Amino acid sequence: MKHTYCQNDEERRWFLTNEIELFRYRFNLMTKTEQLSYLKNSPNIKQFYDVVNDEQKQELKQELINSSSSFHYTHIQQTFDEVTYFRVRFQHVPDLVRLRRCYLRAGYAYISEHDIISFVLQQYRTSLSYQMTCASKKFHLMKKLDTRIASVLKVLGMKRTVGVTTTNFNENEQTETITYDMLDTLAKKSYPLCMRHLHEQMTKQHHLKHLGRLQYRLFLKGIGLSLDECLKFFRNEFVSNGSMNPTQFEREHVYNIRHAYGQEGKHTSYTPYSCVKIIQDPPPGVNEYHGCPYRHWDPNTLKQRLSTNYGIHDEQVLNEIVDRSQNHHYQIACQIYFEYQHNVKNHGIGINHPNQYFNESRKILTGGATASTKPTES
Amino acid sequence: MNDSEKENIEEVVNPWLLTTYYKRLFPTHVYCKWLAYGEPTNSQLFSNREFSFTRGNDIYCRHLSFTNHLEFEKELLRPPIASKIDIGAVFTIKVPSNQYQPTERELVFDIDLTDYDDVRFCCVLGSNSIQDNLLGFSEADICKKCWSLAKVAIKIIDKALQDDFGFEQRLWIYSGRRGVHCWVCDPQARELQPSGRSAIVEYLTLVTGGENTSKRVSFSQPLHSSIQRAKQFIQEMFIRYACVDQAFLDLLLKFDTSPQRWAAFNRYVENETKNTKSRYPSKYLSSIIDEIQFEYCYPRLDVNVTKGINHLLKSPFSIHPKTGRVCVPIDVTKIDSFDPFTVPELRTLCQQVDALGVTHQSTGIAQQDGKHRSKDYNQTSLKPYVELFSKFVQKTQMNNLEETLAKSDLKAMITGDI
Repeated sequence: MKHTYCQNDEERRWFLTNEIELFRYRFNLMTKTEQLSYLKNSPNIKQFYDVVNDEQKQELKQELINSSSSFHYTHIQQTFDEVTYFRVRFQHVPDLVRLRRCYLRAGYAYISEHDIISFVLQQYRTSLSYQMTCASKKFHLMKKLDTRIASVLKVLGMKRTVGVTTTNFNENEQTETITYDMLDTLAKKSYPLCMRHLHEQMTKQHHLKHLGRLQYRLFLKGIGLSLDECLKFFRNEFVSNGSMNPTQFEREHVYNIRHAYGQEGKHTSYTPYSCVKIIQDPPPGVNEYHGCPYRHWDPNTLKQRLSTNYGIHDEQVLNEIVDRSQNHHYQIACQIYFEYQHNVKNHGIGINHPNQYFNESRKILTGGATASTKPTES
Repeated sequence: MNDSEKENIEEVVNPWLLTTYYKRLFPTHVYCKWLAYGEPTNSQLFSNREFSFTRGNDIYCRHLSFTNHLEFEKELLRPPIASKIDIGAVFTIKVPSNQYQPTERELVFDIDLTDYDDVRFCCVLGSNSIQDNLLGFSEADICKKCWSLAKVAIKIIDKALQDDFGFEQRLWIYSGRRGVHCWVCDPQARELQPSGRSAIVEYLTLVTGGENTSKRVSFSQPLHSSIQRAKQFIQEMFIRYACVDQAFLDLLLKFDTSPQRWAAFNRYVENETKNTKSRYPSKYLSSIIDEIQFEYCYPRLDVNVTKGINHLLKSPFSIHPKTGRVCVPIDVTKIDSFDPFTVPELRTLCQQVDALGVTHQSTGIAQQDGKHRSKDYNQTSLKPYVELFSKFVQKTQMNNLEETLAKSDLKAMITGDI
């Protein structure tokens, strides 16, 4: 199995996530005694943790209780004396540290039996991930030695692809030539909300912060805006309409734009960000406008903006979008917006990529409405 | 002297000043010793380290590496002279090369006061750059008022790094203009993987979200012990800083003062908390005061600088290209008396050196003598900062030595030599 999925990063990540879920499920089925004995007897784990003794536990009582996660807080408060605490290096429980769900002291995290699973999973992930790397190194060697193995693994690998294929956008779909002065109109008609917001901020403020530039620039490349037009657009906004001085623009931005188009540095042509990436990346901070509106805006802000700025007056549609966003179905929310905007129902194509959104929109609006009539292949 | 030369002399930074600075003031040897965690020669930590120089205004030279401090200095001085020095990660093999991976790097933090622009009014409203600020790229500077934000940030982060994470070797550097950097040099910090780094920086980040979120700080009671501790630091300065210095509530309504308004608000919240029929949920009331205080004062870190193991960061003792100030170490024990406006400037330092030059020549001490250089910063206002830095470097070397000894002991024990 490891060998099947070790060949590229995406497959490796998929395999890891699923294996870890399985492990978590199995670990949670165990009783406390079983879990403790697992900890005690696993050679890879026992050297990395200590059980906090009662004396120290009482001494740190207040801190330990205050620093536990809000799910367990009441429970721990009531049963503190029975709870077992473990002491591990903070590096071994990054997820708990990140969320401030454990007490930290001098480089050690104090975690309760409820959270020990994080530690065990992290250890498991590290070791599995290491094994995968080794496997991928061995794989190439194996392929040479025996072609049969490769073909067996290939068949195995195909099993996974069922059901999880992501329809990415097709780069060659655009038929129109797009120039920068068309962007305003396009933004209103065919942009997904995330890009529309970036475009509006760009034209309003004549500037975008780094992450916003990255997200928007690659999208523009994806919709078929040529390098020259892209440079014109940015120069026009930053310099002519904005207050940036031309030399600063030439120095700091031209290179970056050319870089995104694969004309500088490594000469890699970067692919535009997918929804998953936009949703998972760091959320926008002060004066930043990137990210996914359904994910990163407050429900109230989202609702208000949709109705006042983006002309959705249908209360039912509004509520549906907000509901979906709150339940973490950001892409479905986006799809509802798409359907409303283009006045189609059950369009049938999940939104996985801002550029896919754009292409679908163009298809409908420019008459090549093949996609909307044909059922999707899946 | 022609016009262009005159113009250059008016600038805070120019190639001649930089030459003098690198030749006679830059503490090259102790600096290289720091990055080598020992002697620079024969140290892989030093020779596999990535440096990046900015030459002139806009020539970026990345992936530089040096085998010893002399080579480093020679490259610094090669024209066009380096105006800014950045430090990257230590790589598996000497850079540049095709296949290399970053292996270790100090754990670094970057705090820039521009990230606080939505909550500091002194330098933003006072200057003509309101519009710039709204545009998101303020050129606004800092003043003594908003420096308090940097102070409290240093106090909170420094304490957390020490108490929570157990890091002992923390070097704080003033970035020369509007920010501070922290370099954590403990071996354990240098070896951290990206997952560990991002866990730390997210643990320390409480203010999140931009304009599209109505609330940037959200707490649930009881507060995590690290937040409790930060709260004490913030309470110490909040009234003085936010109410008096920034007068943050004056902006809303002009009659009566911010401290009075803040006190009134506190009373209101207190009454509402007691009121069982309050129209606000108690969960909301119990955290609101803390949340406001934290939104205004809690440190805001540049997350990406800390997360990336090979992210470049401006080096200590580099010159800030706009202000001409030296990026000097800050003594955390005396943080309250640190004043960014008295940090030595390149031009002043060079004048001090020039004054020395005459006396030395008359006594006949050779300019090229290596020992001579060590004396030069000692006779300028850079002295206390170099001393502070040397002390820090000495500390890292001691710990490093102990560690090497411990390792060799362990090895000896395993092989049975003891």
